[in-house]
Amino acid sequence: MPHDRLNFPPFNRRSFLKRCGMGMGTLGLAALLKDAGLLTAHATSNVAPLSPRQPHFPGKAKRVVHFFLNGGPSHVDTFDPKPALEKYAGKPLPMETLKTERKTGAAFPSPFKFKKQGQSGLEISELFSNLGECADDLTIIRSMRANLPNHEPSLMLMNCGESVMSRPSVGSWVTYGLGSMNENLPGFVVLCPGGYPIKEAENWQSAFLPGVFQGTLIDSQHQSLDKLIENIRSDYASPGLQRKQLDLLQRMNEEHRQTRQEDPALEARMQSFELAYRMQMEAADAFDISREPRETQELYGSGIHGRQALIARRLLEKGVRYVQVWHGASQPWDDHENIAANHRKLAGQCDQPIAALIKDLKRRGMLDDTLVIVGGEFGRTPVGELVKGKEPSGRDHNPYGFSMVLAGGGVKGGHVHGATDEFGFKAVQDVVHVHDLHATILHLLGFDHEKFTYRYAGRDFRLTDVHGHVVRGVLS
Amino acid sequence: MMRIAGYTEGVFTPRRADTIALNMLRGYNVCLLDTKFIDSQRIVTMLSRATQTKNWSSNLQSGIAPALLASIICALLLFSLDARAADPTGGHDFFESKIRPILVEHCYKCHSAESEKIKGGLRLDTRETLLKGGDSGPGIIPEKADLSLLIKAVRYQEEELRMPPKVPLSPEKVAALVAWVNMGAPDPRSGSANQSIRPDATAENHWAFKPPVASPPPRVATKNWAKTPIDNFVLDQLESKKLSPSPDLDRRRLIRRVTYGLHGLPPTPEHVEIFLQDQSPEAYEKLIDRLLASPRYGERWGRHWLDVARYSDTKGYVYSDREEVRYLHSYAYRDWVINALNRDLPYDQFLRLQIAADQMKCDATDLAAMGFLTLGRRFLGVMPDIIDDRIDVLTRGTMGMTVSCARCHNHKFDPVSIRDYYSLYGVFQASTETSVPLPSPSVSDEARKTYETGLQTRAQAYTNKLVELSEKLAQRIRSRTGDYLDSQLRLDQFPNEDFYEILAPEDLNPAFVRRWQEYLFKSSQTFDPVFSPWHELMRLKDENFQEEARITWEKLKSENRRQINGLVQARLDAGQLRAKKDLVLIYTELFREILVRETNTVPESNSLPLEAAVPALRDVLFGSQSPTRPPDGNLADLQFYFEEESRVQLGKLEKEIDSWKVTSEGSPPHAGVLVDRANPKTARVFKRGNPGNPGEEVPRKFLEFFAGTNQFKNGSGRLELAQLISSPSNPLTARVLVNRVWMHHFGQGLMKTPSDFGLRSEPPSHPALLDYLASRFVADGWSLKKLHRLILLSRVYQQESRSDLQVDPNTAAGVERTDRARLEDPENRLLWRMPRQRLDFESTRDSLLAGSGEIDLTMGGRSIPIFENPLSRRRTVYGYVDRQFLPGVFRVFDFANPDLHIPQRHQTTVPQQALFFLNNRLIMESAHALAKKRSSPNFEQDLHQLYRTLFQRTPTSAETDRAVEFFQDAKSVPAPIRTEPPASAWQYGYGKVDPISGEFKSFSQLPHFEKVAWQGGPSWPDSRLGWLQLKAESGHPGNDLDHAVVRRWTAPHDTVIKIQGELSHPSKEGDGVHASIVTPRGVVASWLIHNQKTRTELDNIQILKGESVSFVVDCAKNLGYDDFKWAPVIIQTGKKENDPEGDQVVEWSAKKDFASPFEKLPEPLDAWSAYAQILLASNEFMFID
Repeated sequence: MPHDRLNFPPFNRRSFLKRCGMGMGTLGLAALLKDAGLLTAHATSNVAPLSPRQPHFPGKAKRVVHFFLNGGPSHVDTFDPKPALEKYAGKPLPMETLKTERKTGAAFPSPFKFKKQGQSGLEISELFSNLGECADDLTIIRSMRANLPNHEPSLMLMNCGESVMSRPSVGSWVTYGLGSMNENLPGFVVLCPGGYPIKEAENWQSAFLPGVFQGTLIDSQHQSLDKLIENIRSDYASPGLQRKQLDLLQRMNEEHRQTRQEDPALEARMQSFELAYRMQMEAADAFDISREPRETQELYGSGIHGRQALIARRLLEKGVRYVQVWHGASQPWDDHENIAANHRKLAGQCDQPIAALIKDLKRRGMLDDTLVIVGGEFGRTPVGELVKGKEPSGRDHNPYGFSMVLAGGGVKGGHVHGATDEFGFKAVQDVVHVHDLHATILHLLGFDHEKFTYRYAGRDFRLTDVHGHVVRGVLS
Repeated sequence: MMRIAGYTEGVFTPRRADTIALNMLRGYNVCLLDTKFIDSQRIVTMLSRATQTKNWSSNLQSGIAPALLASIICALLLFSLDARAADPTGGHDFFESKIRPILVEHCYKCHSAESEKIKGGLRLDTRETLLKGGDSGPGIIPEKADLSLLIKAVRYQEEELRMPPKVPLSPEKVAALVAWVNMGAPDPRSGSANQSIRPDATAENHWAFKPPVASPPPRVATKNWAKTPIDNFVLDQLESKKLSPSPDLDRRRLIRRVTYGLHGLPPTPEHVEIFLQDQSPEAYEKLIDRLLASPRYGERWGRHWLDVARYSDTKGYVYSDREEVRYLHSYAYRDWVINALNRDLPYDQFLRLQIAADQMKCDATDLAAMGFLTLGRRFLGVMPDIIDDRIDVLTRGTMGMTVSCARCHNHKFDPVSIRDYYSLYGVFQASTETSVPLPSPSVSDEARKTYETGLQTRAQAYTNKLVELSEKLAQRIRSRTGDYLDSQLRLDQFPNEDFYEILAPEDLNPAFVRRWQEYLFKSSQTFDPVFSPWHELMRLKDENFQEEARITWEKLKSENRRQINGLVQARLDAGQLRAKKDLVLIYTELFREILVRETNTVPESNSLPLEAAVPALRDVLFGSQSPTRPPDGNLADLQFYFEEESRVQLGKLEKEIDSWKVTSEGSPPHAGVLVDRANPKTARVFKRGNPGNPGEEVPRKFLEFFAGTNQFKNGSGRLELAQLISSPSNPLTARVLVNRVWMHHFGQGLMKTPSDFGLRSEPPSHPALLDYLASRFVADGWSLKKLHRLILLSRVYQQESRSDLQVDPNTAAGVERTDRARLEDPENRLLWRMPRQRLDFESTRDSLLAGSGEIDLTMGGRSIPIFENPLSRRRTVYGYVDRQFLPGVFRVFDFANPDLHIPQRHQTTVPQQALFFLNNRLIMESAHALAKKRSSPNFEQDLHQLYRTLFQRTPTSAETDRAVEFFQDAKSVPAPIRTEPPASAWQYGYGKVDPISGEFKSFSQLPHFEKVAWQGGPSWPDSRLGWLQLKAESGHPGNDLDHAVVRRWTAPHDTVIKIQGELSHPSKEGDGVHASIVTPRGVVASWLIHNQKTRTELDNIQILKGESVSFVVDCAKNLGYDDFKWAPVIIQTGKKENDPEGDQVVEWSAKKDFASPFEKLPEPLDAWSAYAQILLASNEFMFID
């Protein structure tokens, strides 16, 4: 492999600009030039793809945490109250029934109570009463749209901006664009307890971006560090011996480099060993929540979800750029049946931890520059799903209208954006397509989504492809 | 206009254009005198390209005949005049870089040939139509921006003329348009308003789309340096920048470089010695020949090709309960590629076989070549996506063309239209996939027989189910004939395939709606006695239907007397046709009666008097081509016809077949091939890439720009496609390949974008060299080995890589040379030194194995998971590549993403790589192996041996001193505290079962572990312990009740557990097995099971630390057919006392925890192995000078 091929961002400003498609954008260029590391291009460069980089313009958010409630939480039971459903309970809705994956029938009112929360009076269901306490920090987008009522394409759309073809995930794009604030940890971490969601690693793929930008999956059910991160510690050498080894290594490498001064890759690799040595401690520390005060542990709760939310905060605090926290393996929120009991159970698992994270970030002064995203790949139908021989007790998938919750990182607090129709079937006012959400996330991080591109296969690719508008209405 | 590719970047001024034109004339004159003079050659080459027609497929490479010279002069004059007049080249550059993107992005949607409706009569996609304008007048007035409508519109000056309508252009874009119009609107686009054209005018002049022309090597000023033509080309460009090449590399590092280059492995100390001793002038050449003759070569270069082919052993995301996730045929393809390279199969043939081996005369084993097309991601079986992947890998992989961009719209820059895309789409749509067993000599007859019997059973089960379900399905579809006829009136209501809807049996199935649609369409192509009236009447408008229908019907009858089906005619005559619905009802009723008649033994009274008319109607419902049956084909093609439940049933059975083929020891290798469908459909353009929005039909053919409108004639056309791609007159194929080879040797291609040779790609660093290599390659019979020789023998390749080495370090000239070079060419594009390379993923791992002497050079066969214990010693190219769950270490070391065609790997430096070198088990094992290899009692000799093995040199005295120091230090460091996991909770053994009480007594460990199973000894059955065996999920009891097989779990602490799992005994033969769960409290559950399954679930079992739960299986009464499956899972439900983890789920899974005795950790490092580890981790080991 060509070590001195100038293909990597920090290596060479010009190729970086070209690759990022920012070369022509004056804003992007100006911002980039501020970055001393990039200005000096060749001289000081190392090949560290995770070193921090500046976006097109100063973004409000510096990092992202995305709680992925996979399976499709029902918006009419959580963040989008629809009293009109009561009126038609058990009767067909006075509107066209939109086509979804399975057959649906009559209006199915929410079994949960909604309550006005905070000074803003945001209406949130009892399922998320803890999150309700943060109402004045939340923006609820009630007018989300996706394309298809099937899990796989919708997960891909939400995570990668494209339903089918292999495209980089949002986390990969963001880490590619911004690097990490801590090179001792992966820049993009994915927490999922007990296995994989459906579509598996494709949800956090880097596709044509370098592999280092792919999400690093951590099965948050585990507690032993060895199972959390590969090769994180030695079973073969004591720290003392390892230090001596490293000293020897660096002396050898330095001698080797004497006659090869021109080569930044040699220097970069030398540095990476020092980083790795430190990473062994740092990673151990990041995942060790027992170091948190008791009060904080209690705030998050003791279950798996509490633990992974707390790990997420520790990672963010240590400079990880993008943390995605999945509810669990497969698709837990996919309640085609018995939604009353199941949604209650699921929300019971994650409501307190999510709220705790927001509160905790806030008191640490981190909420202002941390974007919190909560939601699934789509919502659910306001009508009941027909299951042969049974009373409808669940809802089908619904890409026509659903809710996403945002907090921190430059979004408004106590704000509702957009609306679905009277019954919650379809987004009708200020519709926000998933592409628009992506454009907005990138905007909050300081990127113009139309200029943030990567050259691959003869074309400049964008997260938002040819779509997407920044949703100005949610910006604070 | 022309552009001299690669020589002139940026804007031409008129003066420069003049100079160049003059140079051309001069060149022409000189050309007559001395054809070796480079400038003239370039210009002649260029002119000859310019005068060639674009259609290379019909016009093979033509040299430049003297007769053409006159026209060249004309061309030159025109060029210079035109250049003077309007600054066309500079203007065109401006147009291409600034204006065309704006028009394409913002205007073409409504104002071009691709618009669904051309708004305002204005088209902006040709120069002519832009000038002519639309309904409001001329689009622009050149040089008068303020008066041009286009400019007024984009400025949002006037209320009623604001374009683009929703969002105004950015000020920069408006400014660019204004500048352009004022410049005189230079516009290279051609084409008239009447023809659908692509925005590709400059494609005509694009260097890469014209055949390569081999110029003779240029003359160079520097004497005695150039050894080969390559050197002349490179040196010539260096000299033009006043640069000079670097000194030759020393021989030790040269053999290291070239051995890595061809084998991806370090040279052995013995080979280094031989090379150093060989003083003959041919020593280096002999070395290259030896390396090229070694099978290691194919393994290394095969892997380079596998990147191009996005190789993987798995399909990506599938519904794994009903589809085998592993590919059956992947390793056969990998082995074919390696073998093809080793035997130096000509590259053109190499490509043809990969595209169309099924249609060529070739060895049976060559069918494996088609894995190239069939190993992509499976996208849950969605055909348009699978085909897209194939088009992409084919066009970028072989020709450096990015055709898949045209899936939704014409390519914005390259001459590829959406019609082109769907022409190729048609080729793949007309091909279907199947797998073919290949000859394999290495399997025993017994294993083969077991395999075949097993296969037959599974295949039969699938076929039976398919027949059963198809018939059930057909019955249901027939009974709804009326509904399906009715559906034809509202086709748009049925979702397309990317909208996956779960259907109940009573739903109308969109797949059958479409099947009916096709059936009816086919019947409309000729006169059809049953359906012609249908077609004629359906064609009418809804208004005035009754009247029109009467006239049409009478006319039809009079024209086709006696030909119309008697019953159809009778019913139409008798019925009332007020609307199209009535027509549907009439046909519905008719088919209903046919159906009743078929199912009833006693015919209804005389309802169908015209017996002669019945068979044709019956054929519609029951014939072999009936639209009520799913078509023939494999399950992938059929899945949409069946409803969910049947689909799952069939999928599971098909998975059984595939899994058996993948895992059975006696299974031969298979080729995954495409074969032509019997009746290929003509593809349609999918508007904006949406399969639910089909447009015009397009014939199967090659890209029009290259091959004109010639359609493929044979079957799918795949062979013709293969021939066009591998043709010597294809301007791209050879260039793309030689560039790939160059890239792997030099770390960077002559073209920086190895899979994009399109209009927007940066020109090559050495265009003449690229052409020379491509031409030589074809002339040498597409021999890769000859190409390697050519490149490796060049002096350019043998240069030093260290840039701070001066030619003569003692002279100012030497210093100046290096400084100049760094300044002039910091990226080293001109190759004033050899680029240093870092080992990639494969060569890193292979070097660790080779360096430690542990490498296993067995070739071929099924892929092995290389990071599972015990660690394999096979070369990395044989490692299992799971594209869905690629182990992190692959990604960390920039392995080619197997989802996509990867032209060139990324190269990152991240701490996770260093962690691998610090802590990974493979490094430790390698370091231990190196340490153990010490053969002499002499420290210094050992050290020398180590350096020779890893670095091809001896240590310096400073290094020796430092080693001594390290050894002393290391000894004083205490050993690490092991964090070895506690002994597994599971044990594998056997014991005695009391035939009366069922109690189980005694427990003995099974003594031997063989690959995947615990058993009595290396062979199974064992002479002493018989058939006893336990695997992760299955097992076999021993020969009698004294030898029940026992999987035992021991509690690590006091707790409460529940047990889950499924016990199955699959065989119909024998008398089944007897199973029980035994705790200290006795037998808590037992089952006698024969050819069935049962859940084995128990809850609320209290258990104390150290107590065991045993899963016991004996052979019941008789031995025979006693294979069983049982992988219980134990879940802790009670909390451990004082457990801080609280509610954490703790479980022990027989399957997941199944461990071999090789899991044991290697020894801690001692001083030698700690030292060896550092050498392995060093930059000297990881980089190649």
